[in-house]
Amino acid sequence: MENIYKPWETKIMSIEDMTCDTKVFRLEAKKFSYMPGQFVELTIPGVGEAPISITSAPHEKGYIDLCVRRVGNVTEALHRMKAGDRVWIRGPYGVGFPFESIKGRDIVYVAGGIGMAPLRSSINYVLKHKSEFGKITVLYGARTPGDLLFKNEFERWAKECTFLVSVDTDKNPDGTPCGWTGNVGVVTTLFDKIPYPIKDAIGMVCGPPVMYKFVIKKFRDSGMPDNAIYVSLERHMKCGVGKCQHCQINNKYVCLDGPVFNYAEVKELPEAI
Amino acid sequence: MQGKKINKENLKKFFAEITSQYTVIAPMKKGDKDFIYGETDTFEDVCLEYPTTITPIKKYLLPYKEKMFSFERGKMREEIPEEKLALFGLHICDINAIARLDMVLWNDPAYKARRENMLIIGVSCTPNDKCFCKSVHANVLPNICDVFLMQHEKDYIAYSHTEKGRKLLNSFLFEHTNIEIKEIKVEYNEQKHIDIHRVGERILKDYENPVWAETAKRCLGCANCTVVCPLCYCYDVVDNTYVHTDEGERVRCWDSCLLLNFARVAGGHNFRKDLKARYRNVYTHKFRTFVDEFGVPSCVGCGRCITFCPAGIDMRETLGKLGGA
Repeated sequence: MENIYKPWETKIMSIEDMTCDTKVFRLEAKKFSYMPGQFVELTIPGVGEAPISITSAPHEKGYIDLCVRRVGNVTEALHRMKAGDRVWIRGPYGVGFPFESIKGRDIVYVAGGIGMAPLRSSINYVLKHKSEFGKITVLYGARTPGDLLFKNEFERWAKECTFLVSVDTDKNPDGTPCGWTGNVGVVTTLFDKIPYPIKDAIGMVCGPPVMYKFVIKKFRDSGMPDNAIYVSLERHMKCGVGKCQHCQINNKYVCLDGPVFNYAEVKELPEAI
Repeated sequence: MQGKKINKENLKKFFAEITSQYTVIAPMKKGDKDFIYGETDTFEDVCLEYPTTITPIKKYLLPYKEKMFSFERGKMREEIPEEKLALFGLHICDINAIARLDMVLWNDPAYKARRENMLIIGVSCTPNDKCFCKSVHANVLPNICDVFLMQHEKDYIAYSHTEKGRKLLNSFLFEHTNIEIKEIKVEYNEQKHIDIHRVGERILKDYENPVWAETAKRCLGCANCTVVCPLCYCYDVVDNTYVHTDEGERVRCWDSCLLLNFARVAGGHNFRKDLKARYRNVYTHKFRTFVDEFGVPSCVGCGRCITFCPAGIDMRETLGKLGGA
């Protein structure tokens, strides 16, 4: 019998620094297919296992990219590793974004902080298959300019879609200005800058827990129906296969039914958002 | 099902036969008034007339702590248990608990390995004032029981649901009888009957029912109820390294959704910070999530959580207030 918990060995091909606490790890993954929004369980033997969303897009073959912030034991250990080091993964797990059912539609992405990691997979997938979708908007918020991820892709995204960025503060911790000339404010302040109506668009959201209800309110105020909104939820999926119960939200499992949920399905679900 | 008779003397011999092939786990006395499941090869240790044990039988299917993998110089080796266990003298509720764990964990390699090597021998029971197995549809013997011993005057009548069990009953220790039974079940008047279907229907809609806050005030969040529960299977996974070498292990151990950090994620956000939310989660999982997944509640009405709650919380009272009364 195949051991459902057994990861396979792979190696870190390269590591890219993103911010002071976030790096992108490129792992060798041949014959590995997945959809944007799905995640893998990453093992560092002796340290532990952690669920990490895939940030590369399915058309990038031979590897997967994991955008990882240093916040726990496994991510701390991963950040100390170098190219060529070995790690173990299993997956992909969960349900990703539903592209088949939204062909031809406009899409508005709202990413907050590290929430950009899973959304980037979806954004790059959609931009790659641009002719199959309508107008694309990406709203991206971070705490400070120094926390922005994937800055090297900003230029391309700005060219290929409506790409708007905002930071919560443009001040350094000591109160001095840090030289940011862009938008300042929480990510929801960017909604007014979208140059076209979004009531018939699809919304996709991923960010810190506090962000969801504000973003969803903006979507609903724009006239978007609940079933056009997709949220990617964070929980600690310890097993990834619906057993350990750590990611359970009442009668849904984030690891099996999610992490991407249609908002209409979870809006009545207590504790989900 | 045709019953076969076995007297006490022969039951002792039958037990000895089993110990020659299996490690036997059976109910036995602990202290003056308590009972536990424990390992024994001595028939005199076994107590077949007991109210309920403290320890749940899940301890022998999903151990409190078990090694899933060993790490050695960058290699991962899976650990699959090889033990052959005979669970001797289980009540119908506990056998139902195993049947329900099977639904969740049959594709779990360690669990499946243990179960496939396992012999289950049940015994009839006398329900007490904490029992509510009828309410949760756990009073009928499921077909995973290899041998069931029903007390009959001074002897036992043995029945079998499985091929493995029928072979055992072919032993000369069992006498032919004309006693037949259609279905083995516990019949009694429950002290409090719960309408479990109604609870399941209402539990997610009744999210702000005052019973959650009221009971959470009394609840200590100690997780005793989930530890003694034969069906609370949620677990945590931890890696350990041995200090002196580059070897290590991945260990799975029991966890409880009642404990503070159960729904905590990296970075510190806790999705169920309040005890009220955690207490409620025990019920939503048992009487709704599990029902949605498998069609039955993840509760067999054994009453352990009631007996061993240090705050005296009675699950039946909570369920009653949720529309189950």
